[in-house]
Amino acid sequence: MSRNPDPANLERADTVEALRGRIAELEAANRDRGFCGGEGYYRDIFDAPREAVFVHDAETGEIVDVNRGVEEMYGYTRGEVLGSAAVALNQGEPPYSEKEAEEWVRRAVEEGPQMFEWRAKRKTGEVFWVEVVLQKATLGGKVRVLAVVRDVTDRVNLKDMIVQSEKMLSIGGLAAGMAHEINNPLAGILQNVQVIRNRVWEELPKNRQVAAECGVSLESIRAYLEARGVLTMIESVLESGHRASQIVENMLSFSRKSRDCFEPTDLAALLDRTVALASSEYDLKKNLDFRRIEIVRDYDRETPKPPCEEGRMQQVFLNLLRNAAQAMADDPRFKVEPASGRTETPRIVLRVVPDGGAARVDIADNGPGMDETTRKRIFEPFFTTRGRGPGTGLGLYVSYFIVTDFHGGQLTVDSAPGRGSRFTVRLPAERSAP
Amino acid sequence: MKERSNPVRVLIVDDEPAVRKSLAIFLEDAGYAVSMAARGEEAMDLLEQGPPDVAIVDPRLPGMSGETFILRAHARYPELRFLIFTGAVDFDLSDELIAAGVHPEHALLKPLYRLGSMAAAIEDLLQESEQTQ
Repeated sequence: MSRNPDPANLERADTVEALRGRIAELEAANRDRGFCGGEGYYRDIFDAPREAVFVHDAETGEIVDVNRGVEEMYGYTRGEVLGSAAVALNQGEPPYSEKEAEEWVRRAVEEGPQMFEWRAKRKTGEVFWVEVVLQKATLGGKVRVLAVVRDVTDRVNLKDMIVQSEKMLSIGGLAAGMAHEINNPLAGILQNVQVIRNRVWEELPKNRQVAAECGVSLESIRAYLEARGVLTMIESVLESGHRASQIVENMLSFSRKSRDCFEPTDLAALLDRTVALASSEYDLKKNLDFRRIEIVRDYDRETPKPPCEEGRMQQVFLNLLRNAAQAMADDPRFKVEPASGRTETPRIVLRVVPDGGAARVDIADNGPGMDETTRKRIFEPFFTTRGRGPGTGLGLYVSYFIVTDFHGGQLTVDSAPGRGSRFTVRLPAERSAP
Repeated sequence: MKERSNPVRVLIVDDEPAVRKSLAIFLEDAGYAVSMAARGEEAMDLLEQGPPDVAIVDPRLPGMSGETFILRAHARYPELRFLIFTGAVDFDLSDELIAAGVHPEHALLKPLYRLGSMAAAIEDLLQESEQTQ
């Protein structure tokens, strides 16, 4: 991916330039003075930047040297990186595989300096975002390609978060407008159906009178409509309309402003009450008894008590606990094996800690986790990985707005397949003016 | 509904025909004398022919807004009481509306799963008026 130069890139280019310049200086100085003990000196300069620096052979692409930054960033020793072709420094799948990496090196040799973002992999297997600058350099008379790599995970995450919050804002605005447009025709449907029901089944004098004028008794009309299932159908239209109206209402429940209900809230206590509530929820028992889940608490008593509307924040916690429980219910690792009766323990870790001036709540499960595509869409309305279920697919969407829009906080998620999911709620300790 | 010598007169101001007409039929069946208008201007004209007891008003109307209609009608006919019937999920009452006697309990949200609550709201409103007189 080629990118427009931004200040960070220019700064990076400077780093490469500076490094190259100093090495050239050093080499020149060595030559001039016949200085032979330069290896240590050279290494100090090479190791100085916080970036990871790789030196590639320009022809083969082989790594011929790395600095200490590589060891710190990737978790491999210098010996491991230089000695083994099996070391996986790239995420490994196109467009972040070995093949593309070689292509970038080739371009740096043939076309000049290259700057791009890349998915790299640490020794632990963790994949992270880096920004790479590749530049051809002649070192010790040999043509090399210098790769200066900076860990930009935080910057990329921030960018993701901004895109996410903009997307959610536009969905929120759309939803509010749509609700109004949908409620009117829904009222048309529900009101007419109620009038139909009244005109047949209610004891209105006029019902009898008009039936008689038409030469039938009200009883025979009712008998016919009931025998043909029409009454049931009418009730069914009412129920469906009612459900649709509840979906619209749920979608916007966060926007009902009641600004005066904010009280400093002990989040740990609220979380505990919500766990108790979740334990008694029947829906959860159908899949996985909530009480089978081990709850681990890590509460810091110094956590600030942010102003919350307790009912709504409890709704958020309940949604997050429910999601965790349901994700774990679907995970075969937690199914009791009939033969041995043994099974892994589903676990939710609840953490309430101070975070800068804010309060942070983590709700982490050891369930199946989710891939990046799911993680990016998890807060969208009607996005669900569970197929048609009892839920409306609005739980996380509504939670997102309760936390961000209503409480001025942040709701984020960290997750990877096989590594569980951790939802984090950050709430400012003070309420900013609305 | 309470026994009265004359039926209670209700005006429905709503631009959505399916909502307006079905609500009118429901209230007629329940014994009210109902008139209808699709716009605020039309509703003001109807008031000239003798004001009703209660006006049920959709705040979002083409042309004159529901709120403007309520404020003008209230200025001219202080006895007239209002119910708001809105498709918005949330409705903020302005200070002017509150001064015109419209309070949060007088705002009903569409759709109503039980239209009986509209009849109940009318009865409550009339009772409120009788008590303050």
